[in-house]
Amino acid sequence: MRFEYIEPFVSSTIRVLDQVIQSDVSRGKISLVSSDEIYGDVTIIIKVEGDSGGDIILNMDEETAVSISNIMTGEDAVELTPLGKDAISELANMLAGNATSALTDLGYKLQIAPPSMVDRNGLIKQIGGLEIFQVPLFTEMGEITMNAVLRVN
Amino acid sequence: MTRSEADPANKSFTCIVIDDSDFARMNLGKIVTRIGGEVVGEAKDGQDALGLYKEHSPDIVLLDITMPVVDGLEALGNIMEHDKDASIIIVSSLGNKEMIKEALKKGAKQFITKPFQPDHVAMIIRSVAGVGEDG
Repeated sequence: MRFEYIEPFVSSTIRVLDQVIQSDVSRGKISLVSSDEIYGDVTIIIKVEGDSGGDIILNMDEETAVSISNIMTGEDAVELTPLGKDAISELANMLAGNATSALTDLGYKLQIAPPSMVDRNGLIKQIGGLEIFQVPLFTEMGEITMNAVLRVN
Repeated sequence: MTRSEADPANKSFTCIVIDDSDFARMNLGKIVTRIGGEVVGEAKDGQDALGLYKEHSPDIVLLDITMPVVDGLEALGNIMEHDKDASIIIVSSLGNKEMIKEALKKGAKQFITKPFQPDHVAMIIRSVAGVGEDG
């Protein structure tokens, strides 16, 4: 993934979030962080391959994840259920799919892998030591952070 | 839904749903049921798609693209090779022009991009299945 990918990514992510969770979404500033600076109880990682590889990582705290998954599933859960987890993963898939499609339509060749939910150790194992572009997205259900890991091929 | 709420123009049709997300299969299944269809089989990966198709010979196939082992495009090719008249609707988050073109070239009847509006999906399924439209 390259830096110029980030803007189309963020725009597409906001559009999809708005559609799926029916919430106004505003964005914070893009910053460059290390893997130690990815916080949140719920983390979904999606591998990107093609012209340039990388990962898209969404993370949020559990309360936000529960609120969002309840909207998606119609459940009234107080903690993240198996269906809720699957809904959050599907949200990540929709965000990544639409974002990479926006870039594909600009002429880049990118493919995404299915999403996987990882814990902190799993995350560090996959992206520890790499630089990450991070964009906070503020929704009515809480903050979601979108992270893009750029791997130099 | 009670019988009186069902669209009288509906006739029954069978459907299989192939998507690695339980949530996505559940949502698509609800739409199929609402318009008078029956989900007769489900799979979480493209590698099971042809077997499921042969087992049920469904009227409609709802097929995702991004899946763990065999992706939807390959599964689409496998089913079309077995039955050139299969009615396959792709439902994927990868709605870029190149992917849509490729899926339609391989024989998909329609391409729905996720996230979707349930009414839009219902309209497409009805049109491909040749069952009654709203109104």
